Amino acid sequence: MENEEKKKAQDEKREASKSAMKVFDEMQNTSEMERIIKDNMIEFKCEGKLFRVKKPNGKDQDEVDGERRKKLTELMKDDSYLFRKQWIENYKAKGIDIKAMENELVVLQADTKVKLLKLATITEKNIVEDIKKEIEELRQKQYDLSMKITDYLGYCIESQLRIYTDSYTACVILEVKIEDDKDGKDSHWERYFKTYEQFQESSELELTSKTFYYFQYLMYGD
Amino acid sequence: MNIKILRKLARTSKYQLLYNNAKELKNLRLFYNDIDLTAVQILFLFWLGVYGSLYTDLAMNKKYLSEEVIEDDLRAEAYLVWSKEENKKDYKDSESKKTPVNDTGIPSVVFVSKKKK
Repeated sequence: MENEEKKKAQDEKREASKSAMKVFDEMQNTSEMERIIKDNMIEFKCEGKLFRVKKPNGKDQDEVDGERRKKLTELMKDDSYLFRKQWIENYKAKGIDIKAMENELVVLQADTKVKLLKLATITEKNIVEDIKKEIEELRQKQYDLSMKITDYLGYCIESQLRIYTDSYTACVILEVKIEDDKDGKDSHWERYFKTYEQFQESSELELTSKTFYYFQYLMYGD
Repeated sequence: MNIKILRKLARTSKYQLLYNNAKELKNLRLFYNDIDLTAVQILFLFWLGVYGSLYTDLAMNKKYLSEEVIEDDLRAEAYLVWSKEENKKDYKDSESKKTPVNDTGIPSVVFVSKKKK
């Protein structure tokens, strides 16, 4: 009996600490989000240095556009690279119908809308939860199918060009804070990777992954 | 990105108040930057607007809307889809009921075919 009570008390403690951790995580995530949205540049620390990613300015954008054009010319010269439309035709010849998958996505989207319209007019808790579950399942199906299409078309020129452009932009917008004197009163920001090759060859995995993480917020919002 | 957190922030009274007052007061700002907004800032502004209109609907006692619905991301989305459909229906109804009005002051021209003599 005493053991049972002890176990119950322990379980309660564990649950309480779990929910406290959840609240703490939520608070941390919320303040991190506030930090991200407050400006068009995001500062972060990595291995003792202070870095920032900033929204690309006109000059940065020109540099990225120039490189994008060069990359497109390079990809078009290479016969092993095909455009999205060509890949879709090739897949169809092999029995994989991407267009049909895309149509399926549209149907799933329409089904989701029907469920959403139903959800809006229901107030009974049980039914609400059931419809929410159905919508989440439909959304998961849409996500899985989109991922499948992305995988199939990952090598098309459009995808490759987007990956390259994103990567190049991330390289351009990463800056490091340089202290000009020992007191840290005077400082300036300068581009961390002087060339794209340096960025590609970099072994600073934590830095590059943090850069891409914040880059997503700046450029895509997701 | 955690869209849930972004939406949660957008519906807080702190940001709703800031958003509403920033429209009126020049010195009150939501962000450090006034121009060159990032994608996440634009998304945040979008959700601030959405939640602003939801709270307005709530104050007007709109059908199917409650604080509970606003707090629930999926139910809020469902309400927005439903509300959009209702507005479309209302617009169509009002358009079909409209009778052409000639308020230009210019006399209407009536074309009459000439009778054969």
